[in-house]
Amino acid sequence: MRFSSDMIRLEGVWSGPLHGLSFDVAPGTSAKIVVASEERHTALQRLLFGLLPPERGEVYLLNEPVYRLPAQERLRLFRRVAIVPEGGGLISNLKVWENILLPRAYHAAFDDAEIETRILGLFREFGFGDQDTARLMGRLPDTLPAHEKRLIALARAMLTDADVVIYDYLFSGLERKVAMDLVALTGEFQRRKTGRASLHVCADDAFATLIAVDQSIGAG
Amino acid sequence: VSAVTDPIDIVGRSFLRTVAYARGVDALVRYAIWHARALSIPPVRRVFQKQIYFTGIEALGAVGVIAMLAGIVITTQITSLVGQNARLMANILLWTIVRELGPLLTAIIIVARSSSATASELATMSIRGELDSLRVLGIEPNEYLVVPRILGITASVAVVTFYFQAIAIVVGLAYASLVQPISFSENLSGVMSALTIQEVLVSLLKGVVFGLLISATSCFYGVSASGSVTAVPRAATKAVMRNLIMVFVLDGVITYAFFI
Repeated sequence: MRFSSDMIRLEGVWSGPLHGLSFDVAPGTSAKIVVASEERHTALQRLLFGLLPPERGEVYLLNEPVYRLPAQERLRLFRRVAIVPEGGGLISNLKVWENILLPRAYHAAFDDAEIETRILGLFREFGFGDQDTARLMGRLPDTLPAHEKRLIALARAMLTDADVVIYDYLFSGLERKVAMDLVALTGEFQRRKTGRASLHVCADDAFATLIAVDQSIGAG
Repeated sequence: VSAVTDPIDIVGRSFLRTVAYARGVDALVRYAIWHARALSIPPVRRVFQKQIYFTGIEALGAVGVIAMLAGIVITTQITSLVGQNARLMANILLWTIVRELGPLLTAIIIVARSSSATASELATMSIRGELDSLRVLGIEPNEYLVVPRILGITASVAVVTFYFQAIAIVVGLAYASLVQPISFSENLSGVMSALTIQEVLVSLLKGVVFGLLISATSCFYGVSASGSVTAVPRAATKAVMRNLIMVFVLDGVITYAFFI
């Protein structure tokens, strides 16, 4: 094992269709990894989310070997990692605002008024009016289209103080303009904290080339 | 086919399932008690409060109606049996309602209302991968989903049991004073003088034990559901049936331990 201060690092990972995948994302940088198939995407997603140990190799987040940590330590590690899953990863019996606040309320105290202002600000940047946002907040996730679920997961991630952010197919199915606005927004979020690292997991499509990052990685 | 119809195989599988169930429920109860301090986390406390509302407060109407009817029916039977003997009537009323029917009927109502709801809600979350979503957020699913449900349902069952008993006894005595020339206060003082602290404590114990059992069983079948959507009704059915059987078994055990 080599010493490194990388925020995300995969070392010779084998998992299903991924054979010997290695890459790293340094502190304060952003990267995109383009996956050519849904099978590879699923495998990479599960590896990065701490849900499936690799057959071979090692996955590091914040310099910690994710799959060698005891369960409690792994949970503690993921408090410093914000993930925006393709499907949103929302909790079905919580309303939208409860979903957005869940990790923040679970792990730290917060000021209600400040959070409300931040949520309204975020959704304005997503293209929602304040009334639309207020209406959206009271809905359950199952009544929402996929891209709105992803935006809610994005808002949830942006309310945390994560050191590592992983965006999973964030832009798929979005209007080009909304997607470009989100690219700018995620870039700004990444710069808001010194040393924060971001990884975009992208489909192998024309839009992936438009995502400006410090590093591009291919996952076959 | 032979594996399915072989009686030894059926008994063996059933035994193994029962052992897995007992170990799972035991682990969840221990976990809930050990992690009760998680209620200080705002989202966990909110789930706990919702659980109290759904299992306790929302059940009060149905429990009240059933308690009133049970009080009237039991009093009618006692009156036909012992006539105008207020003291004996008070004793029998206590034995049936405080010792047995109060905890038992309350538990059955809670099983019918909350057990299937809890099991199917958790099973749905489980098969949709929401337990993994919680882990990705750095949240231990058992701490967030199981602890508040077990503690909320247990507290609700204990309180609703007393509510059932109070209504059944008061309505039963009121009914008795209508059909017999014995005043309500005379009947009530008979009940109060026959009531012992042991009966109250055993009743509380039954409420707590039934609450732990119902909640842990429902959570166990809920969080262990996997596969397709057909796992949801299966989890709910298993939780309800297992709870009904175990409530009667534990009721018998506690009654035997304290009153025989």
